Amino acid sequence: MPLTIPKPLIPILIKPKVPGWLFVAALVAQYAILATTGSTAPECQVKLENIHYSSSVKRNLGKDAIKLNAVTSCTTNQVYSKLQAKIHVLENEKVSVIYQSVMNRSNAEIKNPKEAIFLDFWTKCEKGTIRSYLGSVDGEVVLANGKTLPVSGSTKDFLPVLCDFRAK
Amino acid sequence: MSLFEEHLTLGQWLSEEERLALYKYLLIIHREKYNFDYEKLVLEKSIITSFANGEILYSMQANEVSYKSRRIGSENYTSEIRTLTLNSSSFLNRRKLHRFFAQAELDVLRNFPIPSSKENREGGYSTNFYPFYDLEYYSNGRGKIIGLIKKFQAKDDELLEKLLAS
Repeated sequence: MPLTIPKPLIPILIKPKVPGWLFVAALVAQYAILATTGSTAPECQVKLENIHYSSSVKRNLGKDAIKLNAVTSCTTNQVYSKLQAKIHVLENEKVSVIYQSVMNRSNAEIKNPKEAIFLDFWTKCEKGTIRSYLGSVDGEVVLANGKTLPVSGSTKDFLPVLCDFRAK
Repeated sequence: MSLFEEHLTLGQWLSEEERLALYKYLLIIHREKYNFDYEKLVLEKSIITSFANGEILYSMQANEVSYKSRRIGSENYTSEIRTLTLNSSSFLNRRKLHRFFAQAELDVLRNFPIPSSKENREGGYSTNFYPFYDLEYYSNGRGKIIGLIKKFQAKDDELLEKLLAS
């Protein structure tokens, strides 16, 4: 005997229990909450400029120097970052560290609290010489929510730098 | 301009060795001032001092002292930069606070030097993470015992000698 479903029942079974507009609204609300509260896990990275001859050190101190600038950048506001920097030199296929900073602390930038800038990593070089340098940093970021995240990084490769004002 | 005044304009361009020399120099020449500031801080729990082109707000709560600073003429202070835990001995606390005051002044000098032809950046506040009075400074965070050994091995920068002779 064939099973027959009474006609009036069909629309009731197919009809969604939650109205479509409410479902869409819930999705939009969830997206909006995530976007405003940033409840995804915060991330930080360190961005390094290539080591370069420092015209600012030359202008202000009259010294020939190479410099490593670093910025810690997070997806959320930070309080401060701390970094220790090293500058490595490649000579005769041997790598040695020619500069090691003390641990530096830099508060988050006032205009962009997601970033902290480090401009104090430099060391003297011998005018007119070309040497291959690599920079690396290691440290932590203290976020506004109290969490601490480790950060580290290095410049891509050993790059030759001319220790001279015209190098830029 | 004296040698000391000249260094008050250098700000971010002071080397690590020069900063340490200036810190030691400040401990000597500001002894009376630090004594006065110590008495006042203990009494009033909060004091404002100035150095180079900056103001320093010291606050004392329970057994902890902290400082914030701002450029002279600026409205907003930085967030809390350093804190120091005190103990029950007022003699030791006085010594500890002298070092704390000198460190705070050095930090302020690095960020808010006296205006001059030298370029000094605006924005974030940069300091040494480990203060000069902490042995961790000498070991760069590798422990106080290594720090103590390194401290004894360290030689004073010639700047200190020149400042004292000037």
